[in-house]
Amino acid sequence: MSDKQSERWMSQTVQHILDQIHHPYLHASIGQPEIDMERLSLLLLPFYLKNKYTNLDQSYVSTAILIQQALDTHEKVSITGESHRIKQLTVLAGDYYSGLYYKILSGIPDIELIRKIAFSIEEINEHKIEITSAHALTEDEFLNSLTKIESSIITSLFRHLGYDEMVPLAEKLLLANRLKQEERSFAQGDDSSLFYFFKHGKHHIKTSDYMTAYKRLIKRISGEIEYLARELNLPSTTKNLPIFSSFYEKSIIYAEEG
Amino acid sequence: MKLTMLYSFLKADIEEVEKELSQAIHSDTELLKDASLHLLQAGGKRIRPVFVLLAAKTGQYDIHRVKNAAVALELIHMASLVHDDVIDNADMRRGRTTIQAEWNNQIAMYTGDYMFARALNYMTVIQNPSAHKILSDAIVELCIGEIAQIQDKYRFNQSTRDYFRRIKRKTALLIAVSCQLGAVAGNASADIQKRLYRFGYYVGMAYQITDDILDFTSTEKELGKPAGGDLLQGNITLPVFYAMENPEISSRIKKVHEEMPGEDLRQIIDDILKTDAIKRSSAISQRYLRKALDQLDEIPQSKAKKSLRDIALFIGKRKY
Repeated sequence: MSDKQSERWMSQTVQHILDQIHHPYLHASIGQPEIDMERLSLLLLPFYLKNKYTNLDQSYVSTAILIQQALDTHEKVSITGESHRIKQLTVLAGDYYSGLYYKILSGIPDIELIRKIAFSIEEINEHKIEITSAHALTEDEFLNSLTKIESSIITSLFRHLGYDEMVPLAEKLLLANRLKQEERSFAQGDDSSLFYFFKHGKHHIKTSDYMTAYKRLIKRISGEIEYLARELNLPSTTKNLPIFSSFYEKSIIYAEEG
Repeated sequence: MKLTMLYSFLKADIEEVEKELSQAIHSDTELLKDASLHLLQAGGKRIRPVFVLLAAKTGQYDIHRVKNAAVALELIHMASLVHDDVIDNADMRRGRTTIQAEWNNQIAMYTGDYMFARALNYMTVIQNPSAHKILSDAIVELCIGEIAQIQDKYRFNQSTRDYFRRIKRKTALLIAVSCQLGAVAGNASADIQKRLYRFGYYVGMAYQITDDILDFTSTEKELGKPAGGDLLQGNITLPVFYAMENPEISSRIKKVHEEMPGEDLRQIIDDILKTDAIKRSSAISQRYLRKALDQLDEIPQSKAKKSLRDIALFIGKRKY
């Protein structure tokens, strides 16, 4: 796999997704959806490794991105301060992306994957509600919920396509990404499920210890990621993929901090 | 006469669907289960499952197979109601508080997404790819219709073509698809599948036009919301198009806005009622109903066919 090839597959898939979801009025009103390149590069990883990416593979990858887009769009609905019309359109945009992923899978047709993805979406929403009751959760339960929320769609697809060996790495990478995102939200003064959990979870953490607890988690997960990546014997070129580049940056930082 | 009387021979099967709906929304996550049950227990006409079952009766009827499509359609409808309540900021539905009012927007969004996923899970019991193609196309069109409704708000220069396309996507498609999927699940012939799709489409169009008429002719008590509410929200419906043919009324209607005082809106409603707008809209609704009934002509006589016909006629006569 060359860097050029990975970039080509990524940009070609992004264009495919944007073509599918194109809706001038919707996107003029709420903005063009941003495709999560880190997630996309993770989805493409098994295809890089076997050096083959067909149109059918592209449909599968696009579907996984669309579902995530639908769920993430609905996450924005509860953010206050938006106009009523924007809120209305945000709800509908999420519903629209949901309909599109179902349409793509029906067109393949892959009814078995529709079932597996539906199960993942059920699971994700159950865990999203679980973490709103953070006081009842232990750290392991909370991290398990975050892992399911972030990775259930991708891991369902990987298992469906026979890439089971990628599942543990995908789960850890997406969990690490989510924790980093939580830290950024907290630093900006926005709501953060992780820091809410630190405060209200079963094992309450003092405000002054938040960052220590966060770094401890990241360090532990980083170690697990390094181990899993070594086990998979990933070629060094994969380090340049967006999903790994941010991880390696952080990993180096934490290694230096000791 | 009550609507349920028109398909009383399906009572046991409707109960089976209702039982399955309760199981469908079961979750180990208590809050999610409570929120879903909250909506389910508010009831509803269950008209989509009824259409699925009646349409399936035109083929090889097996309730254990067909109920999956019926449950899926009702769950999709319920999911859309939960999200609609967020869109409309609604506090009450069917006499109960909405999920977003009882809990919050976030829980309502998760519950709607969960119900939609449950619906697709039920649909996958039906292994016929064309069933999924039909339903997924309809869902996408439904969303496009809802987005168009927001885009078209207070756009007084739109055409009736915009209106018909909008109500097709908003209402008629899901009823059409309920009938078609019932026929597909019952393995009815391709011709019957098409006829039942068209039947559902015409019934759905008539139903929505009647709804739009009732928004002007019913009382607040009958509607459960103030009369003229659609117009106040900027939804231009068929009676409004016809009333706007009168230049004076048109210029008054064009001044409608969300914050318009009740008495000013009442005056505009009275102006609309003085025209022939309601009569002409009714005639269009009746024309759709006749077309719906025509589609049933080539379908063999059965209790199910009689029920489909009676439901269409009931919808044509409904007063609220």
